[in-house]
Amino acid sequence: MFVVRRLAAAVPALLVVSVLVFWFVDMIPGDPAVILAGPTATDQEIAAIRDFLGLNEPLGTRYILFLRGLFEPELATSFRTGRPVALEIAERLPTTLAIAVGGLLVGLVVGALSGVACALRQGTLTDTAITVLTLAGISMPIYWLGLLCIWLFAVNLGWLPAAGASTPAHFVLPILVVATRPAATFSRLVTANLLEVMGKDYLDTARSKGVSELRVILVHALRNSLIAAVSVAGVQFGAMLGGSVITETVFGVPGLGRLLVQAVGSSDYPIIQYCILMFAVFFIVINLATDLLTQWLDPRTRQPATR
Amino acid sequence: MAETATRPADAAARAHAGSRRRARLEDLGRLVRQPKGLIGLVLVGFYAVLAAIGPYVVPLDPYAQNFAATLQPPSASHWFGTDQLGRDVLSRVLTGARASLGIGIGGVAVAFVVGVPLGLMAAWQRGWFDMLVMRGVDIMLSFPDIVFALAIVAILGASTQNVILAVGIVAIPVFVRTSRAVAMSVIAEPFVEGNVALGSAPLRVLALHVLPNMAGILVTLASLLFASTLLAAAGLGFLGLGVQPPQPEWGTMLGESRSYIRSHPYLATFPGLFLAVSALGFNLLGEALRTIYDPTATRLPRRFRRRGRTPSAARTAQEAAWAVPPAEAVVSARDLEVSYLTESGHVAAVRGVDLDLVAGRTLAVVGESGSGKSTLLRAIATLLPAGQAAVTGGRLVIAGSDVAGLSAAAIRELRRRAIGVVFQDAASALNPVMTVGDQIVEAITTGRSLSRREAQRAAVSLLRDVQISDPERRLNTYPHQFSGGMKQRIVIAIALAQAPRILLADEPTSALDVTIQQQILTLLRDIQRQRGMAMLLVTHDLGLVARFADDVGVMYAGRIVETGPVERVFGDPRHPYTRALRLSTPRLRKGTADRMLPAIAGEPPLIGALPDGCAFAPRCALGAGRPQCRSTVPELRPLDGRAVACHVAELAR
Repeated sequence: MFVVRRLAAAVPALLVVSVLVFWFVDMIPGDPAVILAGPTATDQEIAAIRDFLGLNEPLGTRYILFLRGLFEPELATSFRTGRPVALEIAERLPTTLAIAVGGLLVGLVVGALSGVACALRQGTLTDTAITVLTLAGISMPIYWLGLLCIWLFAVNLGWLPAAGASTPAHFVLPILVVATRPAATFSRLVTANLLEVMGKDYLDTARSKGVSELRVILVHALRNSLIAAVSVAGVQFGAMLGGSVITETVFGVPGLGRLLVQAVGSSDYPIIQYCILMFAVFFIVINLATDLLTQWLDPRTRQPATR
Repeated sequence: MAETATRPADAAARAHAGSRRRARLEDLGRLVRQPKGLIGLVLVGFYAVLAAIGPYVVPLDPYAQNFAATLQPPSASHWFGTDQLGRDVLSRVLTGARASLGIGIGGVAVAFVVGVPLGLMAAWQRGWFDMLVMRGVDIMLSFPDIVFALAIVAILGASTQNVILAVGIVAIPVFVRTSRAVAMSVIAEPFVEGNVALGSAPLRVLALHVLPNMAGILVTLASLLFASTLLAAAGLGFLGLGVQPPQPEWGTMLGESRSYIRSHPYLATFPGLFLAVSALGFNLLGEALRTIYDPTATRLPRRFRRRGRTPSAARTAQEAAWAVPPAEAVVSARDLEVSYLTESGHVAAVRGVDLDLVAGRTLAVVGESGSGKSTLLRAIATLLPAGQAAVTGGRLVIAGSDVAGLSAAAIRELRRRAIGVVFQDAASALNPVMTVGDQIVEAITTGRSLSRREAQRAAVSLLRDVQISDPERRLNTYPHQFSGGMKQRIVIAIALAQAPRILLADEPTSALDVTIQQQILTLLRDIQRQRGMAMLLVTHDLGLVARFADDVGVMYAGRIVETGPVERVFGDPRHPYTRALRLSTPRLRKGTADRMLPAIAGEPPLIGALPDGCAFAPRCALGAGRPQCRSTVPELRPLDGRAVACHVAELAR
């Protein structure tokens, strides 16, 4: 029931986002047709391009056209290559997803483990080390970290390839780099939440039952502390998709992020539009998934309270 | 009316401003005392100076190209080397500080100037305006921020100014959300509500009362956001979409160095280092500020080691006689001392308590808050918070074994079989994400091997014992689906799970309605009698003691000052404190309803700052001024069918 309601609530968000992304082309100062045609174009050529893009149509019609472009590839083509946008995106999507999902998994696992360790070893060397590392993690420019990794692992040690995406080994560095920030953030979050939960009365109830301290932490404390952490993890994953824009550029990975950066550099508006739409859709889907996961973890949000 | 009314409020606010300045200074002190805060402040100061004077201290012209000396490694003439156009990297890094940090400051300023007023207005206006702002924020947050910034740059074109706008706009939602949330809680404060009710102009209230109270959290947020804004802006530069060459900026320099990472790695080293350390500085500062200003920032209190037991004072023969536990005692404490472990050493909250819990009887321990009664109960429950409190003296024997010598496993065994605890607040004593059934089954099965079905059956019968109807169905529900009284019944069921011999109840009804209180206490008394358990009931409600307990112990400043059967102690109190308590409780004496209730003069003493001699002496009407009361701590001594710790108990008639 909740799932249906939550899905229904995501639809307006998707619509609003699609309208915004569509409308944004109209906010570009100047005429896309002029930009596209280049400085040497004649008025006739510009008019032809305008016609071709449907820029003379009313806004509503163009929006419908924009949406149809999602399903009919020939309706939306890249200014630069002339190929359907859908094709350009579809070719690069798996690469970006592989890095993002891999980064998420690494980030979550490393973050959760170090977060728990930090919370349970308060005041020890472990705590200090993890606190310092996570602070470094959130302060690190990932493009610089990427360059340092290339220099160390690819150039000096020769363990891993520096650029491209042709073999699984190519994905190792991008995944590690993209996972750094989420891991640091998630670790801090898990620590903070776990520390808060550690003061809760129900842990004393559990102790009064005579269960072991390990069970008190694993069964009672951890699940409660993860609820809040999960919802933020979703946002982190979204931010990581954003991070892929930079990571892919650093490592020369042919993915969505790189496509977007190149499109912005060459004013390839159809690509920009649909790429941004893709990122926004990802983001909304992730938030949806996070909400559902939180729901599953926390019964209080599942059912209404009854007496 | 409104004018005259606002004036005193303004005067008060102005008087406040003085103390506020003092408070700010104190906050600064708290900031630099933290290593994080100090390092953060030093780094931020360093970068501020760098941005201010950077362009004027450059050794060489940052724009001067020299194709005879491109891509030089660091040397005496070029400390950081030269770049692909032969420009001095040190000079470019120094000059770039202003652009790099300036974009960060500009971005945060944009977000601040737009976000804070929006958040404030949303909190103030509520209604449609609030909804509109929050929906807008939601929409903005459905784009990954660097993608959103890229989109803005794509629309406006790549330039320094547009990067500031882009990273600023991206940061607006955070400011809106935080300032709205904080403003809402400040507006709900009584002093602000009062001003609004008195008719102060909204802008005046916001500027005079709401904003100053938000300043701390906004500064914290700005510092943390500055770090991420700086990184985002430099990220755009790295992608070639930020500050345009030849103007130096750290992100752009990193982007240019990418092509040379194989052959000339040092080119990426210095701009990256300066960028990372500046982000670190602002993050450190923000973190330190947060521990001061963010009420939700949590840290577990530091853990301390117990420094051995304090030797208990030698006892006289008479006291020793009193100290022999009765044969049927299930719990006996002798000269028990429980201390909180603090930075400055042990602070005793329970100071030498003798107590016996006898099978089939209920002992009520009463006292004001801070008297140590809950700490005493936790010590007996073996649930003192680890690293924060510990038994530091005396003996505690539970079910025949001295707790001091027990291993962790043996203590768990005691908790399972011997002790049941009913906590004060049932709502927080149950795990919100576990079904009631699982929580009861866990209590039943720890340390035993029972089949799932047997455990379920036992759980059902426990729920029936605590008079919960339809127990089979209830097993699969969660705590939030129960009322307060029902939750407390479940807590009792958990306490009873392995048929303990001792039931410890810590103010079990103080969180409940009066009518429910009676039901719960009657249930506890009935179960205690049926099972012949020893019960310890900690309460501040003397009315409950008379009805539900057999014996009573009156606690004051960590000691039991009078103890004995309820009818003896309350019928004819001998300790001046017990007498004062009795007189200040209306329900116990008929005919007092229309008389003024005498309050006990003075304040209860703080633990750790007790007077010499009898702790009650400063408030005592009876023994006041007697040198003995001021110098010697009175020990419990038998008198007239109870024990009392007072030098002048005979005078209390």
